[in-house]
Amino acid sequence: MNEHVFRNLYHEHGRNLYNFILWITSNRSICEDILQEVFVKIWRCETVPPDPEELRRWLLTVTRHTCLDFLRKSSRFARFRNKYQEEWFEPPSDPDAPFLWAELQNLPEIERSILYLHLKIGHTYSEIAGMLDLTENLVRVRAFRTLKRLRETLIKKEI
Amino acid sequence: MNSTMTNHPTEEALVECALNVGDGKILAHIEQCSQCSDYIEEVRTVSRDIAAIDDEPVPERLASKILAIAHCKRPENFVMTFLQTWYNNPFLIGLATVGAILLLYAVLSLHM
Repeated sequence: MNEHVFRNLYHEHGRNLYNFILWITSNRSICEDILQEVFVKIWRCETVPPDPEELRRWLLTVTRHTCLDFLRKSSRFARFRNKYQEEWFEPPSDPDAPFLWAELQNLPEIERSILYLHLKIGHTYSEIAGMLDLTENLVRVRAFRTLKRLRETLIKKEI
Repeated sequence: MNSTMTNHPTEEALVECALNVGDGKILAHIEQCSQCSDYIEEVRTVSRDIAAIDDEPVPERLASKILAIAHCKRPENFVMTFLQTWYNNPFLIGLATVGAILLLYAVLSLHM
């Protein structure tokens, strides 16, 4: 990969990947470290998938694996996260979304990833299943349970 | 009350219908059943709200750090590639063999 291809990859996908990491970690400084690590990995690759859709899926998969590795390895972050839950979760810059954002942060990582990939990026269940190493049916069930729970929480809040 | 009104679809089918396209039977039911159409509308509102959460821009200083990665000469990659492939290079195998013979010779001559 040459510098031109790398720059193009960053300009086309950097923002999406940044937000995907933020969605998973909900902490900006961790997010920045992970995004750098993702792009170091990309830079080390000799080639990238030529098909744009395949490339997007590949980038999201590499990003998620890097996130999970990072969080798994950094046990001190896990301890910090458990101890200082409120400080860890930074609110979104979107002023209209703090309540929903807080509810999303209570979900397991896999469910947050499914919602992000389906509702924000627009991937199908089958594509998400490929990216997350799950069956399509499991993705469907997880999406259903998550949305059902969110709907119930929001209804309770309104009452 | 007809059967479409009494046989409510499962919640899973309703969520599926809210997110994607439901089948004809479910759509026909929803048109007549306010309870199910409310449910679908609530799920759609939640998913619309999630989709509408603003994406944040990548901070400027991070962008320049990332673009600077491309100026690196991939040193770690070179080392890894070398370690993984050196034994495929006949010249390096020859060099390693000569080195081993010389070392053996030196050790034997010291002990004899």
